[in-house]
Amino acid sequence: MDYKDAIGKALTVADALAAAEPQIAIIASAVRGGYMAIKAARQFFADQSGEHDKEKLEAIIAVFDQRVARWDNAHF
Amino acid sequence: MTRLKRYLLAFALAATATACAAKTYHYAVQVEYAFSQAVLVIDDAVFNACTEHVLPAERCNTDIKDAMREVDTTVKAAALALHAAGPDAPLPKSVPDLIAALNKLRAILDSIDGAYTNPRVVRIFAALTDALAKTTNLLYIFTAVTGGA
Repeated sequence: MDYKDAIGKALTVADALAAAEPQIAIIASAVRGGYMAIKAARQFFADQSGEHDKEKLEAIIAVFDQRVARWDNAHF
Repeated sequence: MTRLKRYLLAFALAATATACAAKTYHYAVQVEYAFSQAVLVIDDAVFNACTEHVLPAERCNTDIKDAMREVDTTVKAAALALHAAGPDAPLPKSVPDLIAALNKLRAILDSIDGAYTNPRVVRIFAALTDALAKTTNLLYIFTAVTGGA
């Protein structure tokens, strides 16, 4: 079981308990917050590896192609 | 030093140099990405200011349009150059063009009467300052790697 499965199960249980007992909603919220933090940290460290450098540059090139075309076609 | 030790030392130095080049390249891509986001903010702000006639239409259709095209084109050129270079190649030297293009846009906006009294235009100036700071970071990386701007 990876961390996503584990946290997914924890969230399911916490949500079920929260429905029965409102105070447990705080715990569910904390679990959800922890999940988001782990997800963000994993994305951050994956990003630091440089594995998406080429994709990032390709995205920049595509977006700026569109922006140049937007100025070309504009008349104010 | 034995021949084996010399080979090992040469291998270690080559591996370190390759790792440094890859890290520097990755950092340059990160800064280029941050810089491009800053320029997109400027592009949107100037385009909207032109569309809503916050900036004079006759300037938007002439020098502002030309300057923004130049800014956008240079960002794209830097991304293309980085993309073509790859992690193991020396980084290209196109960044000074970005600074020149941004300063040209700033000079055009400076020349518009009442630019500094309009909050929308003041925000564009702030975005320009942010983008210039990010470009300077990029220039610093390029200079450090290539030994010259």
